[in-house]
Amino acid sequence: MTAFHFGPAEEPLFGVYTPPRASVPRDAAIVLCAPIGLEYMRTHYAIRLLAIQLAAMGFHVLRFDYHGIGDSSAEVGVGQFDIWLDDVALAVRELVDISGVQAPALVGLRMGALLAVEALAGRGLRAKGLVLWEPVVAGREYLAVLEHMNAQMIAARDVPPRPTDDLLGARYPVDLRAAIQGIHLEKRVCNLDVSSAALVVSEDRPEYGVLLKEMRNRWPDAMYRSMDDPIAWDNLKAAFDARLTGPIVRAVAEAAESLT
Amino acid sequence: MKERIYEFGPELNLIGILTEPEAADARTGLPVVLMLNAGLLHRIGPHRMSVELARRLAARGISSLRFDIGGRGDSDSASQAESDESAVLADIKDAMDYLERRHDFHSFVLLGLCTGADNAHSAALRDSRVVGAVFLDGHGYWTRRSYIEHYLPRVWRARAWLNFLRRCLAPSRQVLEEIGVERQRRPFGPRLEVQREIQTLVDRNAQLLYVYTGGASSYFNYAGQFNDMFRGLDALGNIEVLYYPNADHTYTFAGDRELLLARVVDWFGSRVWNAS
Repeated sequence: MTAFHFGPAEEPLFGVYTPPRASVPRDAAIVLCAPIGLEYMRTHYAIRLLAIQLAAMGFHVLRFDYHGIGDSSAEVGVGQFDIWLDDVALAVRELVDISGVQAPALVGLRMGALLAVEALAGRGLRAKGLVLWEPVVAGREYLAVLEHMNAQMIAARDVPPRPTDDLLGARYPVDLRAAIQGIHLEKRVCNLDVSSAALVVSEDRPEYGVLLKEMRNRWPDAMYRSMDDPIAWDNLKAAFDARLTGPIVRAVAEAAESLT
Repeated sequence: MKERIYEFGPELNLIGILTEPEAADARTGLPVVLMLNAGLLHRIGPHRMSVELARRLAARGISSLRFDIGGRGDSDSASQAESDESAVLADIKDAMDYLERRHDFHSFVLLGLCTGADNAHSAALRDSRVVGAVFLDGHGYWTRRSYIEHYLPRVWRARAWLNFLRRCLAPSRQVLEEIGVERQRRPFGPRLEVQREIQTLVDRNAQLLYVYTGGASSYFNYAGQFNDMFRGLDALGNIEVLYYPNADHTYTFAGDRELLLARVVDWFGSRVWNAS
């Protein structure tokens, strides 16, 4: 495992490259796209575990922090959504350079799934496979849940906090909210230059059914795996819980393996 | 500001990011701030607080290392099995050894939140290179006034009485907790022993900043509680205590974070730092 900075020297991104285990190397590479905001904090360890499992399966793996998140440079600000799409493209190029694999697969968790799809659609990327892990399907609903939990935290205080554009401790500027709000993932998967895809979720939900239908229009053999072990993304008490269970991490790794 | 990633520890299993001021801004002779993991969170801290603090400190000429102890964040556990507490203390020592050996830093200020504060306390006691520490929601013990602060507002609430009656029917430990006999959320150790330990640090001329939030109200619930908890402490002006009752445990709201970070940076600048 090698932690390093990459991208523009004046505003670098933080990344961690995990090489394939020598005994089982493959000619395949995977970029992991993490969530944003509070969910980034909550899922960091799960993303790390996934990287280790994928490397053990023989993949080159790169996980990274977007600009304004984690150890990368800068703060979240105006135009952030487009910057994050550029970051995904940058990470893909970086992994191509490191591994020599021309078309890495992408695995995206929550908002990371949405960013992966948008980057594939809008940044001319080509991927061998795409795993959508517990993806944010409707941007409007994602924001509504965050706003609701944020309002619950404010209501619990004796003194209201200074008004900001934060939601649960992370900045969501007006233009970022607008960009997220307009997104429906199921409408974005039909034209992607991706060979195969999978959807891995903690439980069956109507929005995943809609998404899966569109995915199967694009990839008739798109894989679907539901763990029947719900993750309460919309529960304030659970929102600060740092754990994701091992079985879903394994299921995501197996889905990625089946696509590449 | 420069940020560089380093791997260190006897097995190169620990990962940290050293944030240093540009050469022109660097102030010589100051300790480096070591930021410890808050609970299970990785080195960036809750809501990226450690990253923001590191960059602000660098702008004031102060260097810092935020790193993951073994088994958390991006650091691996050392292969030799040790108890969790010894492993954590060994990792903190490894970080200091590394900074001393490779970067010529000889004194350190530890900063930790929650269990990170507990680790900072234990590590500071064991290593004379630690010349200061910032404890965020660190040690706390109920005092007589804590009970009044806790129960008085509840006297007129019907729901509080219902909860009390319900818990009276529950197992005895819950009853003890309800009446406040067992109020601590973390195992802090006996109060007088901790007081002696803090006195040891003060006698060593360590500078100590204790910051409590409303998120720690289960064991710290009024300004001035620190003095009541540790009445025999002779602080010699080395201890500063802040209480932010409106802030939650992880400083979720930007205004609370801003207040804390600005205060920590000012505190650092206002203290006289001795070489270890």
